[in-house]
Order: sequence, then structure tokens, then C-alpha cells
Amino acid sequence: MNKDVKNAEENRTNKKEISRRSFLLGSTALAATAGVLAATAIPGVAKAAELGYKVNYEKGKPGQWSMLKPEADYGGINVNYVNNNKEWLGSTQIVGEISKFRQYDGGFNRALRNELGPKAKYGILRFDFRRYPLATGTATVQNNLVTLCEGKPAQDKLPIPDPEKMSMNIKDVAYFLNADEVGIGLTPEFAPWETMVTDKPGMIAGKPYEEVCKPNVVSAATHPYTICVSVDKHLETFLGSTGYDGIANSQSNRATMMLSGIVTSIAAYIRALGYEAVASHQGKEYVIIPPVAIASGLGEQPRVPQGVAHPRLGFRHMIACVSTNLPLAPDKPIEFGAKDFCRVCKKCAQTCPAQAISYDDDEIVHNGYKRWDFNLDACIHFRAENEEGVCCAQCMKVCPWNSKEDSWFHKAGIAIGSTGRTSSNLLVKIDDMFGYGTEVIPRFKWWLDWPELYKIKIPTNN
Amino acid sequence: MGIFLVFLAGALFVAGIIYIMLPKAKSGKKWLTVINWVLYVVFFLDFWTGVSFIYLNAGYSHAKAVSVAIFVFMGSAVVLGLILARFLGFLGGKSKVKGVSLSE
Repeated sequence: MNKDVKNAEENRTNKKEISRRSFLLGSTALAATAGVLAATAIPGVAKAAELGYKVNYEKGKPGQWSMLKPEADYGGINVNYVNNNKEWLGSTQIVGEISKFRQYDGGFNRALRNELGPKAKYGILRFDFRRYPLATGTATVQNNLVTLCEGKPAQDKLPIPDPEKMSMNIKDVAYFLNADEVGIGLTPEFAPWETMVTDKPGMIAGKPYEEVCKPNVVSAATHPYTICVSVDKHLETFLGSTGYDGIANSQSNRATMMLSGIVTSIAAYIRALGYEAVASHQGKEYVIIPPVAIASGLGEQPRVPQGVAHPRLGFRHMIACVSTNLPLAPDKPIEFGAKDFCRVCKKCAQTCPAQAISYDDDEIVHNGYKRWDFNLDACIHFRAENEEGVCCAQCMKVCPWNSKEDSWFHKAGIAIGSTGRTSSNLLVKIDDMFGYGTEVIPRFKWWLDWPELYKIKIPTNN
Repeated sequence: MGIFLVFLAGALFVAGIIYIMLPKAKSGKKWLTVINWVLYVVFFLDFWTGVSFIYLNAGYSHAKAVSVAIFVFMGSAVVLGLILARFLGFLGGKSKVKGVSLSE
């Protein structure tokens, strides 16, 4: 190993410098200082002290994950805690300046502006409206919770526990609200959108950028912590699905229905404590989800760059988040061998109906960081224009990390697969031998089909 | 069902141990005794790993996984079982009771 590579490796894993415990303590001190500064800067705090509010709580054990889940559940895999610094975000290498994105330039927004053709535009416009009735139903909650993402914090700040205990409390709240996983991270500077689309109908109607977008209210400076919450997209439904049939979009909408309720509630809870909090979910996202999820220790960036692979759930989950200035003790990003596994597996690339996923062994530099190449336009085209169903989740369905029920042999397989290239190769071969991922199991196909509705109707005056 | 299978596995494991320790299954040769015990443990682990794998996969209707597991785990268990049976004197061994002529 040459010196540069060794230095980069040490910088990434930081093995010789900081343990998880000392990192937590350091973060706690930093967060406490930030909390004190924030508290003294906001009017009304003195009034809260005058009112004599007290908080009663029991401290957990040092390093405890939460009260409800004392240990983080990584599915039996040994996880390394790695860095969130200028050179590494978890196992993702940062090689230059990462410029912030405008939400306006996102794939679906470009499709809605007709830049990918009328079929893509009208395919997306009707995603949640009558192309599949259940998608309409499941999208209702997130669409109606959009107005509750932001809000003003209570004037009188309540006293709160130390940041480590407060983090445990936030995690317990998330589990109490039915989250499958939760993590807290430092908000990367490049994660919040630079500007947000605030007038979607206007954008679709062709109004210029300046009229339909506004600067983002969330930034790493104003909201230094991100609470990321994840909900499983339902294994049995994946097992019964082709991956891109009628239910595909409803799977995302179902997870977002739950997530939008969870993150909106957590944000409102934090505001009731007297701190700033903004909820982001599929209905209204203030931040780009993968970087904040990686920063929160929810996983690594897999071959499909929109996903975040969790050790236990793979990337078969949706993530939403809360950006806040509530003093918290952030978790560290994690590494468990997903990059090594994705390097050799390529099952998602082989089965992608749009052939949007790269077969390359090595990552490329994209906007200042390393990831596998990805043809976003091809992906959006297929998801928008698919007439065998609505949208697509084939990559999630076939991923060997994703397509399994909870059992001892899948845990053993993943533990073996996370240990290096040779074992990853072995795991992929065993996965293929047993037919996992690509099978469609009829008894789990519980949903109804209206194939005529999947056909995209383009208005004649378009 | 799972609990019953665990109970059955335990009962059969004990039964196998008792059988191998019976005087009629003893060969008198140390190396053969060691092979018998090693084969028994490997056979037992292979067979019950297979049963567990098939049971759990059948629960989720993983048809290919079940059929491959039957072939791999049960196939190897049958081979190991036959070798063990031969070593324990079940198969192919000479009868210890000499024939008695009925005409005498």
C-alpha cells in the first residue's frame, strides 16, 4: 500500500485518532456549545427559565443507541464507523468541490418541464392520479402533509437533556412512531438543495426558473443536524412483483405515507421544545437524501446512487429526514463492505430494464465525489414511460442485500458477503443458485391490476 | 412446527448417540470409532441445516431455493448417511449370526 493510499485510508477510517466513544463525547461538547449559543440567541429562553420548567429523565448507558433499542440493529454484520469530513462522507470519497444542486434540475422536474418528451411528462403527471388507484390513495397523506414541513418553534424553550440523551430520545420517538431505522448526522454542506421549486404548477406550465423557485430555508449552518428515518418498502410485495408492475410506485408511496407522518411529527415535537426543525419527505424535500442518510450512519452508497444500502435492509427502504438545530450527538457514518460487494455483484445492472446502471468495476468522479456511473435520463424515461406498470423498483427487488426475509442463513450470507471481494463473489453465486431476487412468487401478489390504466395518455393539444 | 422440529432434532441426536455407543455398533478399532463420531456430527449438521433451510424457504415459497436445497443438503445427507450406516454395520456387513442348517 503506497503512502498516499495509506494516508487516505487512515483519514477515511480514522482508526488511529478517534474512537466512537470519544467522537460522541466531542460531538456532545460541540453540540452543547452550539445549543447554549442557540438558546441564548433566541428570545424567550430567559422566560422559559423564569417559568421554572424542569425535565425528568433517566440517563441511558454510555454509548447506548436508544432506550427501546439499546444496540443499533445492523443485522449481525460487523460495522466500521468512518468519517464525515472534507475527504470522505462514510465510504464515499470526496475528491473536489461538491456543488449544490437546484431542485429545478432534478430528473423528474426536467421530465415535468417536457425536457424528456411528452410521454415522460404525462407518465409522471399521472403517477399518482388514476394510473394506479392505490398509488393515488397512498400519495394522499404525503401530498397533504407538505404544508406542515415547516413551522415556527415555540417561544419558550423547554429544558432538554444532554445531547446524547436527547439523541436517544429522538431515536425512541422515531421507533415509537413505527420507523424501521433511524440515525442522526451532521448535515453535509452540499446536502440541502440550493433552491427549491415552490410553484410546481407554474414550472410545469413553463414559467421561468426565477418565478418558480426560492432559496432553501435549510442549510448546514442553520440546521446543523439531520435526523434520518427509514421505512422498509415491504419484502413480500417485492417477492410477488416483477419489479416494475402496477404496485411499484405504491411501494414508495406507502413508505412515504408513513415517513411523512413520522418526520412531520418529529419536526413538530422539536419545534414544541423550542428549536428549529424542518421535515423533508418525498412530498417536499429540502435536502438531497443520500448524503444526509450516509452522514447519519444509515448506510453506504451502492451501485445505484439514489439508494443508501443499510446493513440489514439493503436499499429496500425509503428515507425521510428532519433538519434541526436541536443539540444532538450525531452518529458516525458506517462502512460494512457494500462498495466491495457492489463492485463484483452487478445484478442490478444486469436486470435493469432501462440499462441505466453501470457495469463498470470502478467508480467515476461525479460532481466532486466518487460513485458508479448512472444514466439518470434512461432511468427516468423507463420509470415515467413504463406501460407494464407504474414506475420501477427492479434494482431494489434483485439486490442480494435486499431480497431476503429475516433468517439465520441470510444473516450468515450477508456477514460472509461483507468480508471482501472473494466472499462477495461467492455470495452472488449462491444467490443466483438459489434463485433469489429474480423470482416472482404468485402467492404474494395481493394487489389488483388495471393494465389499461398503465397506458400513458398524451393530450392531443400537447 | 419450528419448535417441533427442534425437539425432533434433539431427540434424534440423542438417539443417534445412544445407538453409536451400543456394544453392537462398536467396532473395537479406535480410528473407526473416531470416523463414526465425526461422520455422525457432520451428517447431523448437514441434515438439520438442510431441514431448517428448506423449512424457512418453503415458508416464503422460494421454490428454486427449496429444490436446490433438497438436492444439495439432502443429497449429501443421504450419501453421508449411507457411509455412516456402512461403517456402523447396517449395510453390507457380514451377518454376526452364523446360519443354522435346518436339515441336521
